[in-house]
Amino acid sequence: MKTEYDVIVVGAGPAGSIAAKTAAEKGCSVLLIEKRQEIGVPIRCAEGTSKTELMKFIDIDPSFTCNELHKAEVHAPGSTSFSITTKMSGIDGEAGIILDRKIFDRHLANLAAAAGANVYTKTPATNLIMRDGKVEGVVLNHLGEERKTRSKIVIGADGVESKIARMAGIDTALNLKEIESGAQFLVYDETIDQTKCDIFIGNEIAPGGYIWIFPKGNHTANIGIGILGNKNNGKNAIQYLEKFIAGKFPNAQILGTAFGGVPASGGLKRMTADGLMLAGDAARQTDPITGAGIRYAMYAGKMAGRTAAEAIAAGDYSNHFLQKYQNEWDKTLGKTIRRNYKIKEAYNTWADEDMNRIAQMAAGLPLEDFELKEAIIAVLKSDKKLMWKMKSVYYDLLKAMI
Amino acid sequence: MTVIINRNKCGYCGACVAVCPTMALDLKEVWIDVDESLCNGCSTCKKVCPIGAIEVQR
Ligand SMILES: Cc1cc2nc3c(=O)[nH]c(=O)nc-3n(C[C@H](O)[C@H](O)[C@H](O)COP(=O)(O)OP(=O)(O)OC[C@H]3O[C@@H](n4cnc5c(N)ncnc54)[C@H](O)[C@@H]3O)c2cc1C
Ligand code: SF4
Ligand code: SF4
Repeated sequence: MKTEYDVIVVGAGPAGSIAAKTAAEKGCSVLLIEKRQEIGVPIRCAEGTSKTELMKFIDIDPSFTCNELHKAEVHAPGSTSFSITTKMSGIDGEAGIILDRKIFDRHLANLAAAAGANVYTKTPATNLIMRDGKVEGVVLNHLGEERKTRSKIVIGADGVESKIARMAGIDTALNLKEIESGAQFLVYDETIDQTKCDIFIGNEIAPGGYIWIFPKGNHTANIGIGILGNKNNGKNAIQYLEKFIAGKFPNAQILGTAFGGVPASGGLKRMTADGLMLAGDAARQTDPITGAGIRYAMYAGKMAGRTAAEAIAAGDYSNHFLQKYQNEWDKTLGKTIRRNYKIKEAYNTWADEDMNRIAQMAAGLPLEDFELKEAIIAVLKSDKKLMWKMKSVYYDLLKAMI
Repeated sequence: MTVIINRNKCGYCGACVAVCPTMALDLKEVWIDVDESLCNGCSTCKKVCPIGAIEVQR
């Protein structure tokens, strides 16, 4: 490990590895540090993502793809269900992919290394080196030994538990209505349908969130739950999940256990400082409705890595320059997740009976002929009561379609 | 103020760290470090924990 780099990336998740890869490809000297002793372990993810989005970043390899799916069935509390298909996305070749993130995350770090980044595990950043309010590197601990490593730019991609931002004075603490509390089992059960994802909604079974079944092949599936932090009704996520599994899969065998908090805040208002950018869960760049974060983290990593290289080339590491990254984010995916935050807030007011009415309506529509956004609008339009509940976001939905 | 984390339950996911308003918690790979001098006893961490591994004693 050198004592100085152009760019230090903290955290080797999807955001960090793609940021390191991008900056290294553009000729920067890059250090990528990961506090865990194994990249990607333990997982805190249901491992579902979009095939066409993933292909924008990397070649898809069977070593990290467990399953490819084209249908998700949404189950409302009153047991009505409707299906969403990848055809509805209107995107050619779209499929839902269930990843093996242990292998996937390592693969991304591998790509960063291949691009020329120095990568180290069991190496947490414990503090920032700051001078006159500017970030000039990190204090890290490498296999128990403290070191100061300087850099022109630090990219904080340190996940939901991010401390890098807070060390630089950006308060990223989430309040309880801005985080999903998640628990998941990797389940073996021969009755699991391996050809579709299942989503269960309802205030009784998963308040402010949902239960998912994402099949992974070999009679296994990630079965998990996310509940909104302020809606737990005195029960933990795992208690809701255990009840669900006991009812649906009494013979389930548990091959893996995962927990996690998923940011659902719509993203940070400020994600840069002098010499610092934040990306991925650290910048709260996750979809508040679905909890999806992998692809958002990869996009953010790419934007931050590219901006870092441009800043190095320009010799300008100021907050002013680095805000290019934030501007790009805000105009693109940032817009989507802020909109989805508003939709989620409106959705949170739905009672179980609203969900049932919607499900019955959707089940009666020829959804296959719709694009997803059109389907949502069509369903809302047919229900005045619900349209009223969604009035604050109705125009956002319409705008999203245009 | 004391926060007691049941290490046998904790899944080292970091959700509690993300919500702690005072930076009293830190995820060190497979355990949570508690800085009791920073904790204000708000119990936000306890509410978010997916497995109920946290007890806050006032
Ligand atoms: C239960 C659950 C289910 C989910 N399901 C899905 C899903 O199906 N699809 C989807 O797209 N998303 C899902 N997500 C969200 C997704 O997992 C995250 O959004 C994604 O991993 C974010 O990537 P990241 O690189 O920002 O952070 P992470 O993947 O969390 O990586 C951050 C890395 O930084 C490291 N780190 C932290 N602090 C330091 C430090 N001080 N020094 C060095 N390293 C540090 C961490 O150890 C970690 O490896 C889910 C999340 C949860 C909790
Ligand atoms: S939220 Fe609970 S399970 Fe997760 S790290 Fe904190 S104490 Fe452990
Ligand atoms: S009780 Fe409040 S201040 Fe104390 S550790 Fe938990 S979240 Fe932080």
